[in-house]
Amino acid sequence: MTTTLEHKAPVIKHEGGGLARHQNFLTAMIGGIAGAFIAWAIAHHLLDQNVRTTSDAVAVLTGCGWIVGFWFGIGALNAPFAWLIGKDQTRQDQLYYAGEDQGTKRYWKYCTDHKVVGVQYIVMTMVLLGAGGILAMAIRTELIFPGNHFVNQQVYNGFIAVHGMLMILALIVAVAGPWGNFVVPIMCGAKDMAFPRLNALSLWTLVGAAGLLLTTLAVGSLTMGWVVLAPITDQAGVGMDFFALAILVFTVSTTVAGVNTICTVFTMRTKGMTLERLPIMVWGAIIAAALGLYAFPYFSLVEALQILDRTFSTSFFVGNGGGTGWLQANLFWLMGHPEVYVILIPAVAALFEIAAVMARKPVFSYRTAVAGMTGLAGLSILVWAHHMFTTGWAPTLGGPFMVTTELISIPTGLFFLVLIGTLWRGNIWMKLPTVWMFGFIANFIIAGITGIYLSDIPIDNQLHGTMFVTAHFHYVFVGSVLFGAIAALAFWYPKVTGRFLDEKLGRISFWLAFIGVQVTFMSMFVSGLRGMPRRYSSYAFIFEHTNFITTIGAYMIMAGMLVLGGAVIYCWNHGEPSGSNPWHANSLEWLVSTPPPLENFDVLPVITEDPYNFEKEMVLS
Amino acid sequence: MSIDTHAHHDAHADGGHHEPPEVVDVRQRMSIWLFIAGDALTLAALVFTYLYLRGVNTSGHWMSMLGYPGPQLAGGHSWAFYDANVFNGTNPAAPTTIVTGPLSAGLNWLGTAVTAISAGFIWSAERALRVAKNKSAFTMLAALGTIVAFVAILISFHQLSLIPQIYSIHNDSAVMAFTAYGSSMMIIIGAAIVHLMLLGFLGLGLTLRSARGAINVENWYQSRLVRMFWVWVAISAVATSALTTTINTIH
Amino acid sequence: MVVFSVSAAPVAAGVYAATLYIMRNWAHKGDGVPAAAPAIRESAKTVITWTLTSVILTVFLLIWGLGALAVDNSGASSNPLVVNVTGQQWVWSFQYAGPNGTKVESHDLYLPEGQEVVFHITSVDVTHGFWLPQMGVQVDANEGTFTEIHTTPNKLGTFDVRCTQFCGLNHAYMVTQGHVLTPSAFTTWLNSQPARS
Repeated sequence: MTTTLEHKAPVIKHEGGGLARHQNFLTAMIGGIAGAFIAWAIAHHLLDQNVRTTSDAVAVLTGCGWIVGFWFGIGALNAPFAWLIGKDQTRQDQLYYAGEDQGTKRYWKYCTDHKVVGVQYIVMTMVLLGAGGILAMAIRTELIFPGNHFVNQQVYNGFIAVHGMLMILALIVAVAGPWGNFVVPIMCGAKDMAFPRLNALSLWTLVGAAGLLLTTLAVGSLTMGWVVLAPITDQAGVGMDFFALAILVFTVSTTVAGVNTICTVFTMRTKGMTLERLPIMVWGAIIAAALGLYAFPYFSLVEALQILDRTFSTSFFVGNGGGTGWLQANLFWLMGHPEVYVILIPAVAALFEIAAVMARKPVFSYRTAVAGMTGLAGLSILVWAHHMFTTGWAPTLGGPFMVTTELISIPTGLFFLVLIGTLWRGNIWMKLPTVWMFGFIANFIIAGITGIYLSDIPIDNQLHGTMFVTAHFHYVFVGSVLFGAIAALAFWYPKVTGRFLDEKLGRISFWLAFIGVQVTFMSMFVSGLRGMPRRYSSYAFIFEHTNFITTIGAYMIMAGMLVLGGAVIYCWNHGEPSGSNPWHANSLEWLVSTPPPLENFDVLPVITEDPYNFEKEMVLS
Repeated sequence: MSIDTHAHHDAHADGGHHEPPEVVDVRQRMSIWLFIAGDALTLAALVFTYLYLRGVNTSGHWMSMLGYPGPQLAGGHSWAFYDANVFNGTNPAAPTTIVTGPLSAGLNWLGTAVTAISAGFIWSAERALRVAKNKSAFTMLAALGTIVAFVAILISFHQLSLIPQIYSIHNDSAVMAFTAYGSSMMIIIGAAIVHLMLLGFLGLGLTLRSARGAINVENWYQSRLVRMFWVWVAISAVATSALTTTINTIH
Repeated sequence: MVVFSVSAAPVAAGVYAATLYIMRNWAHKGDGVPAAAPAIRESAKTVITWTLTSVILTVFLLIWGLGALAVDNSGASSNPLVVNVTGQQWVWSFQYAGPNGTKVESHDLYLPEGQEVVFHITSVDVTHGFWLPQMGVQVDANEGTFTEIHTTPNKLGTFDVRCTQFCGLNHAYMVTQGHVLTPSAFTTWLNSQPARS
């Protein structure tokens, strides 16, 4: 089977595009920096330097200048202003924006083709994971022995906060970004997403937000954890302002993406694609999108309040004015808990899909899978105060929140039922995606169980704020979500590139990561049980052995990730050719060519059954 | 999955790719509902903030603060005055607990009424286009709605300027600060201003587009989308006015 | 903790056993595309059994946990020792009621064995976490308000007082010592401290 990796159509000079013909990542960066500089200059000269809040106001305005300039430079503002004056996109404009006949240049531009956006999200995920990973290694290197020797407390405290935020951002988009964009529209039988320009907007806004977050590191960082509790945030330098603005900007990205996903699935399914015939991956995408639409407004509100407290001297979180840190904590965790399921659900849905294809049988109890994900999302709205059991904010509410939190174990347990039930009596193809999926199962049971420990208030009174909590959520994020995201990457990599991710290198990275996770985080549980609090730049001698082991494990994970990253980059153009349906699956994305045509289907298919019948192999005629 | 590729063809002849406006409108209306839902949740979070701060009433300071009265209060002075006389001054009086009162309910409801009137204009504009098929009436009513929205913005800025400030010492430096009540009103009014600015942009777009012909009797759908969101903003204005004019002081 | 571990262990073991069984029995051997496996789409019996089991287990743990919580929250006895705790960046201070209405301040925490102690906790700057690891009690110290926990030391010796809520530069060093003394030794200590009114 031939593998054409690029359209071989003759290059036709189109007239469409207008200003967008000159806009790309470079002009975006220039626009952003210019915007930031202009805003800084104006703010710096207009505002009274003697007032304490001025440096924060200048920082916020500078950040606003950055994002507006960035949007202008990438071309995100073209469409709104064209709309304003009554100039609509022509068909030629549409094709230009979709990247027709632009080759690899379109990956650097504001491209509306969901497949291009998907690849851009793969790159962003790797960039964010890489940056967060470097900080993780700095943290663990500092903690290899007791005492401060590599960096001082100030720098260390800054590392842990930005590490947290970068990784959270990376994981929010790790599965929903690349695969929610590349694969989900094709799975529905659609030509693109409902709002292609909003799709490009969500990706490039994420890039802009990442720029603000990285600036945080450069200007003194945050020194109070990514949760940025008040009132200590009042003592932070301007890094806090860039952080808060990064979150406000990021919420735009995620809201737009969520609306886009939901509208696509509900209005653009092809004929015959009933909700029950959808691949289970699509359900994960819309449930997570809906949950994100619920949760992220709280995050932007709480960061807006932080900015107001710092620039206008309001008293949302300041006791003298009637404010309280508990308001910040409530608003934050109202977002924070649903958000971890926004992160988890797409990974789980991708694993359901992988399990079915690799075991050569249907998803076991498709309805339970949907009910489980929906139930998890719904219940997650009611549990937030379990992060606040020891704050003392409302002792009488402890019991009810304990109840709702422990009930979450029921839908979570259903995930294991569906996965194990799908694999049971299967004919399991032990390829790279399958291997990472098994790793997920092994790690997720530990993540889930340790969460149940923490949901019990008498236990939480002991373990809150210790490294036990840190180990628990790293088993969730690293051991489970990251493994799921890598499984998804290994699974759909051939659809994007036409080549396999190298099996041997992939297995090496798997074993390094898997053993590394156990070594790192099991020893971290022990540190916590022995009484080591979290966010400590230095620790007592009784914790030195477990910390030493933890750091060794972290280096193993790093080695695994470097091998994987190298494999992803190398195999993109040099891997073993895979053909367009290497896993012999039946969902629509596997039935189109690799790479898929610009608008996915020349003629929209009509669907008569779900994609889990492996007795016959489907072909799009 | 069985695929029958012969049964389904696109209805339109121009390459079979341009979708008719009715089809696109279904998606766009769904997206407006989703944006409204997200906005409603943000409003709920704002209401939660307001009620929670009033309920906790830390140090009894929902509407008061330890410090010196700012320019909006009786006997108050400016930042420059306090900076010279208190913080660096030679005869600083001790700070007292400054008690403030709720903001003017009349002005609050005036802003809401003006927002509702602008929504009314947009609603009539859409009717004029969709039912009476009168494009020039649409253009004029959309322009009126936009102008009235800008009036609402001016009223909101005026409300902001009336929120009392208190000169107080915080973290070893002096600031002109706001009480928790003042802060909550600031974010609520600020959110209203942001929404009204968005409405101004949308209203201006409706006006210019219809003048240019991009919105017309056949292609009226976008006027409905804008109207839906505009009416929602008016509803949220009514809700916040009702809340903040009734539940404010603590007895 | 023990109850949770005893309940959790069989669940984890079951999942691991099932997974290993799957890998052993049904991993496709050899090259080539595996053939389709039996298309089991649904088994109401399995779903119901699984869900019911997890509900029962969860409810059991909830009842156990809520019971323990009620015991922890039951009101203080009629005559507890009251200690005012103040957290600040980056040190804990403790205040006792001394003899004749005076107040005694200390940076180490001294407690008498066998008597219930109630802590009234606050902070003068940012939020700190007041944690006595060896006694398993913890609550935040918040600016502008008070939180309260109580416990009864039942063993003589020293213990740690650590801060669990990130509070800035020297959060890692905000540790102090606690001592549980016999009641008479405690009274001696209290009376020997400089008192202020």
